[in-house]
Amino acid sequence: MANPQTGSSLSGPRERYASLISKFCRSLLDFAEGEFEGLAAQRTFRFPGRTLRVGCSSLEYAELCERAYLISSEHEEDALPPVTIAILDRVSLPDLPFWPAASPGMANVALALGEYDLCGAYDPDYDIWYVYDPRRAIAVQAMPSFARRPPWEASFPARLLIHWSARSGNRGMIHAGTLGNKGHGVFLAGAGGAGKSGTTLSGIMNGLESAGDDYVAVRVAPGKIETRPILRLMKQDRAGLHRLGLRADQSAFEGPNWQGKFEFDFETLMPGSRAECLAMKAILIPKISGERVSSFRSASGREAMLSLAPSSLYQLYGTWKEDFALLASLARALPAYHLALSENPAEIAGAIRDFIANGTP
Amino acid sequence: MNTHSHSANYTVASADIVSEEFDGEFVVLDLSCGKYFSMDEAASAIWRAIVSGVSAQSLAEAAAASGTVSSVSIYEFLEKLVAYGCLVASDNPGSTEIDEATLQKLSASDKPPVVEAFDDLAELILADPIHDVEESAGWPTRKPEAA
Repeated sequence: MANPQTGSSLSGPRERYASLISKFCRSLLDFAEGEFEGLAAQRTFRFPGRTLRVGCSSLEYAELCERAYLISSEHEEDALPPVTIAILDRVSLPDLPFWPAASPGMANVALALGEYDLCGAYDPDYDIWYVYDPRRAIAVQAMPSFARRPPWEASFPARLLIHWSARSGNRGMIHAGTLGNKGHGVFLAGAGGAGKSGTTLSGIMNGLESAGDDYVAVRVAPGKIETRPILRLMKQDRAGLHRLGLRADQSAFEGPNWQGKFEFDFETLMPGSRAECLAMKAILIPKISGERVSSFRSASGREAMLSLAPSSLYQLYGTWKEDFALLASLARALPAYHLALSENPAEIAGAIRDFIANGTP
Repeated sequence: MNTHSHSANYTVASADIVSEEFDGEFVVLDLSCGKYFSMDEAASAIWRAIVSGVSAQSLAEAAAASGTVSSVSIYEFLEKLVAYGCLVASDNPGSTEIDEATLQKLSASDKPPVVEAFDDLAELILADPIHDVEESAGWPTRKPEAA
């Protein structure tokens, strides 16, 4: 059987090991399917292009999902069939299957499951299994205990399951900031610390829209690339809030989180700032310059790809081959620019507004 | 130092090596280890030619004829890609003719081909050992109580 992630096939002991991993993961999926109706909490979330039925063995985890996920109000004609997602913990469900050997490691799981037409990952630090079967349209996140969950789960619960279930030929989820005006927008791409979140917050505080500063849904349609929000929350550190005249102790901000950042619902902070859909016009690669005025300089498609792809591939693993191709299609389709950021948030927002309306000065 | 004879040919190392082109420049990703590579125009022209079945010798001869990129730099570049795991030496003689666009790119370049390697993704998927695991009658459904 061909591996959809690599196109290669395993052999020998690795093949047997892969077979056992895949059998174990199917046992998790079977268990999830059998237990789903009886789980402590069940919720339905409509994401761009896909409705998710989410069941949790913990009510607290369902509340995390409600806090983070944005419900799409848009009805899309080409929406994909619903996916069932089960988020399970062994404290609530002692019969949850467990892997009776040493940690299999992330590479073994990804390779094994790709060989058997599943998406999967294993987090050895937290002993969490993530498995998605696209044919059965069911996914499971199996963890020892919700109390011992990774701290980043609160910002985006079951991130990998959402990523895999959002993935289809022309749709996917990427890791990038966005800003827009009157339905048109730009991606903000780059490594952490490059200024994506700060630029996004500067923009919405000065009248621009956004689909998110972190994870967004993208759809590549003939002649256009659309971006939609999937999360309610943005985040910013205390210094970043201070630069914009905001205080972390304001009621809009929760935290600090595990990164020392404060989370907030950006539509609550700035009503009208959440765009339902942005038609994307460019990829911007921001860099703090300290100049008085922000400026744009043309970037190559290769530079756009090198700014856009690594953070997405790092945060959203398991389907690298497909995601690499999707990100490349964005970098080829959209013009890219280096954006040298001034130190004036209002000036930055104005420069991006002018750019979206008129292109480069 | 070139460890292969100049008659050696090269091919993409495995299906784990995927590449995407942007206006004549390639970004290459090794799915097996997370390393990725960025190639300038000259490097990209050589990569495209090798992927399409042009022989290393044809490329070296074209470079020598262009007078701008030396044949030595072509082989050094190909060996670097072998060291990175993107290419392997092959006994299969390349049968594809070198195209005009590749010739022009090699003629236009006044410096050796450049490939940059990045390993910031690699920590995610370091190769893992496989461990013994016994498959009993179905999967254990309950974790044994700690002693």
